[in-house]
Amino acid sequence: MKNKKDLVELGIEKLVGKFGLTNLLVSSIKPALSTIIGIVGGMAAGSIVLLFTGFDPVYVYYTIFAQAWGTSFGISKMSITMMPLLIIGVGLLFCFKAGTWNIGAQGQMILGALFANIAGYGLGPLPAPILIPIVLIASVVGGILWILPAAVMKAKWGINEVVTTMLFNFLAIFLLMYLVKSPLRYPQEYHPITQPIYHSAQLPMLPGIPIHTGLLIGLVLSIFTYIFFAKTTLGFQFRIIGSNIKAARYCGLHIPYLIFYSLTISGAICGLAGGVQLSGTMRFLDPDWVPWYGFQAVPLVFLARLNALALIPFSFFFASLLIGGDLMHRVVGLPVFFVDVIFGLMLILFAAAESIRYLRLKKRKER
Amino acid sequence: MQSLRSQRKKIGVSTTVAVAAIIVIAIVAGVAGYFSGAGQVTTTTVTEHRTTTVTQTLAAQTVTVTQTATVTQTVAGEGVLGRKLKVAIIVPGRANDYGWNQEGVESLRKVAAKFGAEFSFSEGLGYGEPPLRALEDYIRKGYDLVVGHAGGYREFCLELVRTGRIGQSKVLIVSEAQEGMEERDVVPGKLGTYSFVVTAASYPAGYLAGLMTKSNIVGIVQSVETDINWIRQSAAFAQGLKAANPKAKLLFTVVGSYEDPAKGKEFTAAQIGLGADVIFGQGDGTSFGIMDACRDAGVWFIDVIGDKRAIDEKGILLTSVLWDFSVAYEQALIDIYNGEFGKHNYYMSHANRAIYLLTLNPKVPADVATKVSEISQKIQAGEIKVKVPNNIEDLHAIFRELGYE
Repeated sequence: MKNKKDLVELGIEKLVGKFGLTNLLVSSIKPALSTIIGIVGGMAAGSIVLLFTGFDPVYVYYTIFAQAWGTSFGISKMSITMMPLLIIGVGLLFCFKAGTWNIGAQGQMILGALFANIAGYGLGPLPAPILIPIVLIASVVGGILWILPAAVMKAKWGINEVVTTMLFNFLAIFLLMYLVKSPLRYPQEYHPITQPIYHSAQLPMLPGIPIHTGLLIGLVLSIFTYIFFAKTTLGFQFRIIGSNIKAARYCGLHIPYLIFYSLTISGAICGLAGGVQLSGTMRFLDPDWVPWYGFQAVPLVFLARLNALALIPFSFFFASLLIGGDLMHRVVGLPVFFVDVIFGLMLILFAAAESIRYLRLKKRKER
Repeated sequence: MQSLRSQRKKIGVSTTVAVAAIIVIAIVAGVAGYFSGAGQVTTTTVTEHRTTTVTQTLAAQTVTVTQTATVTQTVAGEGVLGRKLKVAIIVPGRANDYGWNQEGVESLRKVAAKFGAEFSFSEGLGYGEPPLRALEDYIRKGYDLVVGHAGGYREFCLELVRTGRIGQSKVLIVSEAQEGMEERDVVPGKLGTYSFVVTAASYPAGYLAGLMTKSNIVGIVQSVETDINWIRQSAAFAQGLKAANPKAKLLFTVVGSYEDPAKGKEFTAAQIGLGADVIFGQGDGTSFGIMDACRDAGVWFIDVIGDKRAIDEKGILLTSVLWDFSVAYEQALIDIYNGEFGKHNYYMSHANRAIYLLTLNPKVPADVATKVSEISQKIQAGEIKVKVPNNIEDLHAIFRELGYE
């Protein structure tokens, strides 16, 4: 602790003077190398794909980022898209840090949105300060209910939560289809959708800009999560069981409870993402709505190396690619699915870089 | 190096900082790039000679469009818009499905080319937020007409119109309206609708199936149970089947998704296993699976909306109930020039040659083809009345009435 304090006092300038700027940069970037290789390599590999398909990679990437960051429309849509990625990312962090796997964010988001929709319409046109919190709490309840079976099964009997949470995605998709097509169907629409929520249940916009307050919820959540893992006992216990479950057992931590809590909090936050998405953007649900954010956020969390604050720039970057890609394809004429190709390439390269790093560490340990 | 690493860890210069730095640089580059080339992205060409082009194009419509004379006069006399039109379409699925999505995109492309209009499309948008974003994007870019090519896009399109967020654009959406029904959504000058009178072509398709089946078992594989057009086509098909072959049985299966070819194949194979030798498949991306199952088993396949002959290696495509959306889109563009947009629904039907049967498979015997042609003419002449359901319950009631359930 003393050393750290001393170093802080020395300040960055002295450090630069002592070690040299290049060395400092290299040592700073090294831990993030897999991430950088993933992102830069993915885009570089994407360029090869573009060249082969007859598109100018420079123009395509320029258009993606110019459209996402250089227009008020792009910035507004990108911020709105960043929100579910960020909230789900934070939700996933709670279980990934604790060494559990919630692959069912998609299902929890659907249930969160469903519960929010029911509350946002079913309770009538209540005033916004009452209705909005109820809608958001309803979505949290939806998310918890959807992960509860998997959390109990994992905590009590050790049943693999990857399988259970993933299967619950399908249940959620079919439940949504059934509910929207039958009991929750809006009778005035010939195409099945749910009854839209009242306007007083919609999240208000930030002053002066067309971005709803869901983004603030995401930012506050990620800061809170960072503090939670850095400063609280429960956060520390999650980290211990995630790092070394044997050591955690040896320390006397109640592992089943911690597993249960980590999964439940994760489900609650993913459910909240559904509520915010419905209340901020969509207003009603379609039976064919499949929120891919649930899966897109998984690699995001790993690219951010399980850091809640790093999730903010990463979800920003991912949202930029998604929105920029969407806006780009209408300008350039390149199919929007190209963005999926980039995401895939980024993941492959990130995984490859991580594997190499792991193997090198293993070799070093053996020596 | 070891000490450097530990020093770095201690001062907290970590992943976040490194990545944030890269992203900040990228933002700066992106913004700079945007402002240096913004005009390149958003330029709209406005030229005088476009008016002439439109006049010539519209003049060529005399064969198919009844209002041509008036339109030509108006456009030539006043040059209503005096600039190049910009039209766009948003579709939920991929524009290579030989069906709903592809036909929608290609029809508008064709009409845009005819009118010298600038054309754009967005595919694979699904439902929820992406199609709304695409629509708003086109509106902000000043597109004159944006087509929301899915029943599920109605609510948010209406919301945009209600809240005055469509600027100078006009939006065209899908409707369930049939002749004689209330055209409830149209808003003059802002929102137009188009709908499909599908029975007149699917009845002969059912009639053809009844004449072609050898096992006397015919199947309908429908992608979703809530699609009003599928429901109406299934009803008309069943009535045609009954008229042609009262002994035939009808199997009816709903897949549950527009875009699930694997499931479509599985369900179709199940019907074939029960003896069906003619399958009427309705289902966008799901249709590929239905066609696959028919190809594997060597049974007849009747498709909808698009023409899959290009991918019909084994020649199992008996026919298809084609939908030519360009009929509706063309009329919508004419009405924009004419100042008549949004005053009424655009019907696509057998009568205006928007919905019709694809040329029958060459293996269909001549006498069968003649009978089918006669039936088509009778329907058009109003000699045969086809019951039209408005929901899945009505469809099952028709099936029960026909003795299929």
